[in-house]
Amino acid sequence: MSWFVILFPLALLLLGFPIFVILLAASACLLMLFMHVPLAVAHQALFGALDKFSLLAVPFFLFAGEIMGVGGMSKRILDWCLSIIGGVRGAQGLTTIGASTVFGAISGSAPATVAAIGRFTYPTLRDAYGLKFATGIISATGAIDIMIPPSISMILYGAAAEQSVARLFIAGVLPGLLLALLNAIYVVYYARSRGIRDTQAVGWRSFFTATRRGAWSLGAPAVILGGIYGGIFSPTEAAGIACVYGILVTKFIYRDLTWKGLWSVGVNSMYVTAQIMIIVASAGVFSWILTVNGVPQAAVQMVQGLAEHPWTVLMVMNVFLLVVGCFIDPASAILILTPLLVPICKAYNIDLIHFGVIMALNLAIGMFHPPFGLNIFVVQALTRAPVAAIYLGVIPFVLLALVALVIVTYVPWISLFLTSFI
Amino acid sequence: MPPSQRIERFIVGIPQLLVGTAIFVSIGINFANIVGRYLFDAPILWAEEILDYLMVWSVFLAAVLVTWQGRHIKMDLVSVLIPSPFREIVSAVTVAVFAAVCAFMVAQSWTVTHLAWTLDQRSVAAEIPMAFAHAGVLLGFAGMLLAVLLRLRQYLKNAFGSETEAVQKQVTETFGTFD
Repeated sequence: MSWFVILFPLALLLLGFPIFVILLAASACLLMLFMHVPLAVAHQALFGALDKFSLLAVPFFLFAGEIMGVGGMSKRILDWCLSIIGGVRGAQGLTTIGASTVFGAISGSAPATVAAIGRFTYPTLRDAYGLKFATGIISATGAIDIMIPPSISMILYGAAAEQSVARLFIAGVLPGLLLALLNAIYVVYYARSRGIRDTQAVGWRSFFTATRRGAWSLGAPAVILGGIYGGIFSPTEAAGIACVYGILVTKFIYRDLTWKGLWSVGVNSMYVTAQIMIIVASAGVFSWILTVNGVPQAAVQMVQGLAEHPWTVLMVMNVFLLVVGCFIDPASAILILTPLLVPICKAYNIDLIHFGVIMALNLAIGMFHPPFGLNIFVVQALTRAPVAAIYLGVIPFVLLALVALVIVTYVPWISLFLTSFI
Repeated sequence: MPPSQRIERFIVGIPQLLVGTAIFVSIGINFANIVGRYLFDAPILWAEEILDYLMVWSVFLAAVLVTWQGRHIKMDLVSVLIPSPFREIVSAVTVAVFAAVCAFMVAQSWTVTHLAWTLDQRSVAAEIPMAFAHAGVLLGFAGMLLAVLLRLRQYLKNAFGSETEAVQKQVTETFGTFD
C-alpha cells in the first residue's frame, strides 16, 4: 500500500493529470482496494476540508488583490515609493522592490503582483538597467508577495497544519523584509558598479504630493494588518474588509473600474478560487486516508532512521521543497506535503510556525527559479522578452533568495520574534 | 440560437451568474456581520455558517467553469514533451480517469445528500437543511462530468494549451503587455 500511495499519484502527476483528479483518483483506489470503510467518507472528508471559516480568507484575499491590482492602486504605491527613494542610486530597482513589498500586503497572488507592479516599472527599468536585469528583478520580487501577509500560501498551510493564520502572517513579515533587503543591497551594488544613473529629484513636496495621492492605496495594508493585529478582525474578516475597501477605493474614489469591470473581477477571482479550493477539498480526502493508515508515522520513522539532528532534517527538507517548488505550484505542494512533513517536524521539535515560513519561502523561490518558475513565464508573456534573457537576469536573485532561505531556516528568531507580541 | 450555444449558456452562463453573485453576497454578509458586532453589538449568528456553505457552492460551481475551460491546475512540464500518438493516448486516459472520478464522487455525494435529506439534518445556527449544503458538491461533480463529456474533443486534442500558457493568457488578458 505504501508504494501505491507514492507511485500512483507520482505517475499521474508526471502524465499531467489535474492535481485534484490525482488526489481523488488515488483516494478512490485506496478506499476500494485497501480499506474497509463506506465509500461515502470520500464526500464527508471532502466537504469537511472546505467547511472551515479560515479558508474563506482565500476567495476574499484573491478578490481584494485582483481589484486593487487592476485599478490604479499599484501605480500610486510605486509613485509613493519613488518619492522616498528616488534620490538614491538604483532608485528604479529599489522602487520595484519597495512597491512589491507594500503591494504584497494587499495582494495574495505572486503573478498578480508581478503584473501589477511590472507594468509600470518595466519600461524605465529596461532603459536604465537593460533587459536581463529588468525582467529578472520583476520575476523575483513577486516572490516577496508570498512572504508578506496576506499570503494565500500561509492560509493554506494554516488550514493543513492546524496553525493560527494570524501567527503565520506575522511570522512571514521579517523573512519577507529580509528578502527585500538582500535584493535592495544587490540593486544598489549593481547600479553603483555599472554607473547607472536612474535617480530623480525628490523632496518633501513630492513626498507629500505622492502620499496625498496614494493615501487610499497605502491605507489598504494598514486596514488589513492593523485590523488583524489590533485585535479587531480575524484574518478572514480582514480579508472581507479588504474587499469592501478595494471596491470603495477603486470604484468610487479612484473611479478606475466600471460596474462591468467590477463584476468581471468577482467572476475571475472565483475561477482562481475554484482552482485552488478544489485541491484543498481533494487533499482533505487524501490526507485523511494517509492519516488513518499511519503513513505520516511511517514517514517519521523512516526519517528518524536517516537523520539525527533537526538541522539536518531541515536541510534535507529545504532541498526537497526547492525541487518540488520548481515543478508544482505552491498551493498544491503545501496541501499535499504538509500532512506528511508536519509530523516529521513535530518529532524533531521544529516549531510549526517557523516551518510554515520555511515552506512558503522555498515554494516562493520555486516561483522564479529556472527553468520552470511560473513568474518567469508570466514576465515573458507580459514583456515578450526571450526566456533565456530572463533566466540570466533572475539567477542573482535566486542566489540571494537562497541566502535568505539559509538565514530564515537556521535563525528561527527571524520568523518567531514578532509572533511573541500576539 | 444553435444547440451548442444554448448548452454553453446553460453550463457557463448560469454558474457564472451564480458564482459572481455569491462572492458579492459573501462580501456583504461578512461586512454586515462585522458592522453588526462592533457598532450595534448585534452579530449575525448565522453568518459564518452561511458563508461556509456559500463557499462550498461557489467553489464547486466555479469548478464546472474551470473544467469547461480546461484550466484545472496540473503539472504538465513533462507531459508536454510526450510525442504523438502517445500524448493523445495519455489525454484519453486522463479524460477517462477525470470522468470516472467525477462519477465516483457523484455517487458518494448522492448517498450523503440523500441521507441528510431523509434524516432532515439541519445546520446549528441557520437551521438550513444540510442536504442543501451537501448538494453543492453533488451538483459540482455532476456539472464537471457533463463539462468533460461535452468538451471531450478539446480534452482529447489538448486544445486548452499548457498550464503555463493558461496563466500567461490570464495575466495578459487582465493587464495587457508592457510594450
